[in-house]
Amino acid sequence: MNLTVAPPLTDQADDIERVWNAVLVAAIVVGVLVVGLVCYIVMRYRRRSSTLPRQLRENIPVEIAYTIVPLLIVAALFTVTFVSVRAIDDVADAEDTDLVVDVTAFQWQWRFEYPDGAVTITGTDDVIPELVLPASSTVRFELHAVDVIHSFWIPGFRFKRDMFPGRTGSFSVDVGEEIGTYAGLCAEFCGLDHHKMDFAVRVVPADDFERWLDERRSEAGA
Amino acid sequence: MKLETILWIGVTAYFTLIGALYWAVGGDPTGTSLLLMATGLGGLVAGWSWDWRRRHGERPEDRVDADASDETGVVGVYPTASLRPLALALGMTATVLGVVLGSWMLIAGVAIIASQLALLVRDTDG
Amino acid sequence: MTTIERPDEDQRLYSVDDFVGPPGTLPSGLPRTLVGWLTTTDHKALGVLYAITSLVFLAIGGALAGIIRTELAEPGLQVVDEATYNSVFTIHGSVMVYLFAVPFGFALANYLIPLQIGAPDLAFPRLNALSYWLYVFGGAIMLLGFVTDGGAAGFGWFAYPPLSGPIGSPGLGADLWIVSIILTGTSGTLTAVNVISTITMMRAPGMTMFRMPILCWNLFLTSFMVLLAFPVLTGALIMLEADRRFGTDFFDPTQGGSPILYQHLFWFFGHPEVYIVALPFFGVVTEVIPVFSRRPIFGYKGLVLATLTIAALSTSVWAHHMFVTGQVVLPFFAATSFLIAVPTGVKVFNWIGTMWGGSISFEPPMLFAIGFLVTFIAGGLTGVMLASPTLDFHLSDSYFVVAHLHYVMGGTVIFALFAAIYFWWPKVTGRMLSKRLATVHFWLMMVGFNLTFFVMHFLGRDGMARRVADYEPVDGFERWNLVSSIGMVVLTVSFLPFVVNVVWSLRQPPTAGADPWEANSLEWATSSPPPEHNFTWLPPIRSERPVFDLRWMNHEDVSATGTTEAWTARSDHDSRWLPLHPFTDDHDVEPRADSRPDADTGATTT
Repeated sequence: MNLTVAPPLTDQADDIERVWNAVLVAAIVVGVLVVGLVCYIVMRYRRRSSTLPRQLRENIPVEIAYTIVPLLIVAALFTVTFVSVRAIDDVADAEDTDLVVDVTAFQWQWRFEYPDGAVTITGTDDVIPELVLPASSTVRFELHAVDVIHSFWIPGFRFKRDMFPGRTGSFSVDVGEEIGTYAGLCAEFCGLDHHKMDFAVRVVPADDFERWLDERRSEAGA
Repeated sequence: MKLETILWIGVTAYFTLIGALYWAVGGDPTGTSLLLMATGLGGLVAGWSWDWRRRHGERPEDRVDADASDETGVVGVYPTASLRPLALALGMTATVLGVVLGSWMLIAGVAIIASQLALLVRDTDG
Repeated sequence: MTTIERPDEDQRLYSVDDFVGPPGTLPSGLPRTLVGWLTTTDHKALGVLYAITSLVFLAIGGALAGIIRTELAEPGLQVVDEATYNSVFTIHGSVMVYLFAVPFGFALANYLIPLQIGAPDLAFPRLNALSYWLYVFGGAIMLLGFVTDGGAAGFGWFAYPPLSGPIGSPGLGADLWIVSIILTGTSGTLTAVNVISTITMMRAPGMTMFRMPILCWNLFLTSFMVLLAFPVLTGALIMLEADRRFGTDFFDPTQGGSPILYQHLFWFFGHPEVYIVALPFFGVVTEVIPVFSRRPIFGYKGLVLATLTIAALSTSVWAHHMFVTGQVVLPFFAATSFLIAVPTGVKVFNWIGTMWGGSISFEPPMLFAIGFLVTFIAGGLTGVMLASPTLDFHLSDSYFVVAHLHYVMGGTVIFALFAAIYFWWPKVTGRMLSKRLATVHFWLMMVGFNLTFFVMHFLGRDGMARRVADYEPVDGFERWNLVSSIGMVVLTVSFLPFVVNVVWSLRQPPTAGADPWEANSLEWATSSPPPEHNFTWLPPIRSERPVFDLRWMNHEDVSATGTTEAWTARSDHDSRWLPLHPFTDDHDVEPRADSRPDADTGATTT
């Protein structure tokens, strides 16, 4: 499974990606302009004679301008952020949630438990655990850490949430239609084998998901 | 001293405001406490500055037209070479390390600190 | 050095050497024996000690970085095992932040503040020395962790519990790390007290707050932040150590404690900390750019206001390091984090405004100042991206953050650091460094630095977490990791011309003179190196660049208003040598009499 640059897997990730693209462009434009200005100045005003240049100490209008303009830019960025975070940081109501997955992190593996504890997937040293999710559904994750702080990161979600021992965290996502297998990993340094705490996220069509769940239930139960 | 006083009063005011704002938007108790305690830090120095200025007024370094000859004579005593800092640092290190490594080191550290402080007092003009 | 037109005698430019005598006239104030160095309280000697010690720690931190990059060059654990790797990156970060970056700022504070404000030393010389020795001992103790059974601390430089607690990290190395930072934190707090006292109480006549060099302002405001932040860290670490050794449960959730409490305490310190690192170097650049652009600093008061705003806001952004915990007030911290970009941008524009219309020469300090500008702008922009929780949810704890932090750190403690070293080297040693070697150093460093860290932005975006000892081939991280590791080699090599330069320079005779760069601030008004207690004579102080005003004293349209007036107001007898404050450094000696010359005979009474 190739884990580089997963496409956005959820509606929230789509929002985040849009914000990212806009902010990236803005940052590159500002960067090129400012660094370009420095390069221009360095060439245009290099020392050519021993005459003392005009000793300008201040220019209040210019100074005010270059205070106000960045202020406006960050105000715009803040507004975009404020609006998007409200959408992302939401935990969906119980009636809107299609699936709840209990995620437990411990040094140095993951355990995923599906509804009613019927299906449990635990990683081992040799096999990384697979989190199977239905496409086009609203999924809520309940996060538990047993020993130290871990972090549940799925790059395809463009989202991570730290997991604190002693409290349950939760967040919801609206999984999109991208089918495939993607990377998941622990993002909060948690000790010796932190770098091995990978998991896989497999998004399958909703019917396939039901079938998978039934299969696993019968394997486990009967 | 006017600017310094204003600066510290500004620090105090800032922390009061931002601490209150943070609390109002749902800030956690730790952060709020720290911000409000910072008000105390600023207020302490602001109070001292204010009082100093009230008692001593402006100095040559506060005047835009002062020159070097406005401050002649002895300005202060600046201790040069001294063993106290090295020894005191050793004592403090031993004390903190002693908390971790064992009471023998802690006791030695405290003894060194005590003796060095006594010597410091002796070294300093009475 | 560029020559300046000297048309007529009464239009000529002065030179500081006219007043302080040729190089080598006065003995350098630095100690000559080992005991002298161990017992010195002189701010210049301590400044030199701080600088050398912090550069040694830079080398150690760099070596640890070398291990990290060698390990990460290819998938698989080739160089060290996981436990060692975890200690390596923990100590790398800790050494760089606590033992190199901040102490070098203190080196600048120590050496330059008294010289720049016209004082004979810092306010509390013995306290100053105490700070230094606490730093040395504290630093040594952190490294001592490597020789313990369990190895050095291996929980990351933030030391989050429960990982850093008694169960998560049972080894002695962790306790030594905590002890080390308690000591160095105390050291820093004491230095901050010293700096604030000195700047408040010991400026020379005429040196108003708004005539102080911006470097002094920055060190002053840095000290505010240190006073605020360091004790909080010390407290948090005492609590952590109590959890580890004395059975308390501050941070143990199974006993009602709270790990997030630690994070609030740590980051309340941690964010001001990174500005504590940065602000002195902003000050350095603010000294260098005007000199090599032959212009006054553009917007002095705006810069002071911007720095003040940065210092204030830096205490109010801390939980942007905790956005992904889901337990902090996102809009408040996003707002303050975005806001802090504004004064930072203002500073950048002020530096650009200084260069605009100037006459720029590319001496080594200026090269590195420009390197700082470009690097810091990049780091600042990624910082603005991270200020948005929307983006931070993905990028936090990834290599994107590693890229960001190294760009801002790189701009400051790599490029601006060398700007400082090349700029003040003549003042400290009396010798010049080779421009040619410095230029090689600069370009190698620019290339190496960017190769190493730019590609980390991609790695973070692609999903590589930080603090990982290894990665799988299937992750797709190989290409950029290899590039980064190659960059590290170039970056390491770039230090060689600098080392050669230093060795070469120290073997030259000390002929630099008082003011080799034709600079602005008061430290250039005394010999190189300065004598004991710094000044035998002071020029009139009528602006933030008294030495510039002194050189241009015959041109009243150029020098600050009142300079020539003050100069002529001094009597003929004292225009060359006006022994300033006579100092007693021995409590048995009687205070000397007033040293103003007798108006009739011209004789002084001392």
